[in-house]
Amino acid sequence: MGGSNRKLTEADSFEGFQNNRYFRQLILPGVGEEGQKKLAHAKVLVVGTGGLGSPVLYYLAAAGVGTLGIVDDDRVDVTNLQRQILHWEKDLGRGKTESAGEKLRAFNSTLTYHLYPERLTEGNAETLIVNYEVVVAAVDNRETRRILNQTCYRLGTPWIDGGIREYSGTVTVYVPPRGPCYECIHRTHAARPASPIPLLGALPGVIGSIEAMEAIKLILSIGIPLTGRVLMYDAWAGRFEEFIPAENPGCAICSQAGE
Amino acid sequence: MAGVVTIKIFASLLHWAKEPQVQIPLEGPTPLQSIVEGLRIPEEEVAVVIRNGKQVKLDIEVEPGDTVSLFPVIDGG
Repeated sequence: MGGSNRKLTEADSFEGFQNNRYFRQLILPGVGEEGQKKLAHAKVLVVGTGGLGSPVLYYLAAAGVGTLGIVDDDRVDVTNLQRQILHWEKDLGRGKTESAGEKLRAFNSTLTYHLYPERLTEGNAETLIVNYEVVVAAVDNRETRRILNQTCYRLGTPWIDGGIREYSGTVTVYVPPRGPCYECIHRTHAARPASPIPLLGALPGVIGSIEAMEAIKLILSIGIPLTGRVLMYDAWAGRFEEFIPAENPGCAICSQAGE
Repeated sequence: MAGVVTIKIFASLLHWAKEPQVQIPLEGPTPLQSIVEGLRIPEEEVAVVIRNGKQVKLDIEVEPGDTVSLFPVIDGG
């Protein structure tokens, strides 16, 4: 539809190409030309390029988010291939940000990609996050989420968290200074020893896609953000549920964020 | 008042409970911890407890008619 089924030629204007490329969202209420401009000017940091990070990055690039920061210090391993669809057989042993950057540049060459082949730590979190307006967490451990939570609440940067395990996934959006924050919801959890999490690749496909959608909603200020609620996906039973997390009035992070 | 409590069990907690959803007859208010113990789910594996759509702690009493969801830590990526 829209005359967009042919390849770009030199005779095509860049503007015409872009209008065709984003045609289906340019005609979508809530996006349109104004929204597309917002997306083009948006800067999103995606932390992790694995099972969740792959669909997050693909869909943010597909939508035309102008600047994407990509953080990951890992290298592509053969066990990644069943779910981390940004990385292919030819990438084995390669740095994940480099592998991701190559695919994304081929996928949407009109965007700006900043690659950070490093681990997000307490030492570099603020430097990495400060230039971005939204952070999407696609990480596999609690410690990095805690660092993201603390830093994003300190900077006032919205962040989106996704998690996966076996046949279940979860998504939540945190918009500082509003609580409850990640620490409120998960404060009772004991740290788990790192071990391979059993799952099928389609699970992070679902959860990462929801994270990307929530990021786009935040950029465009449309819809109802998934804040103050936790969405749970039960793939085994084929159902979604959501719950209202308990507030923690004494939370050291979000109870002081607005002060 | 007698009735049933519905317990929904997610992700790795199914290693112990076997069934994703069970209904347990109750005579009245009952400690949730005893129900979880009866399902053979180790308490330390339960990270988030939801009763009727709201997050609660494990040391509550549940009543006939309640729906309780039990989640482990879902922190993979």
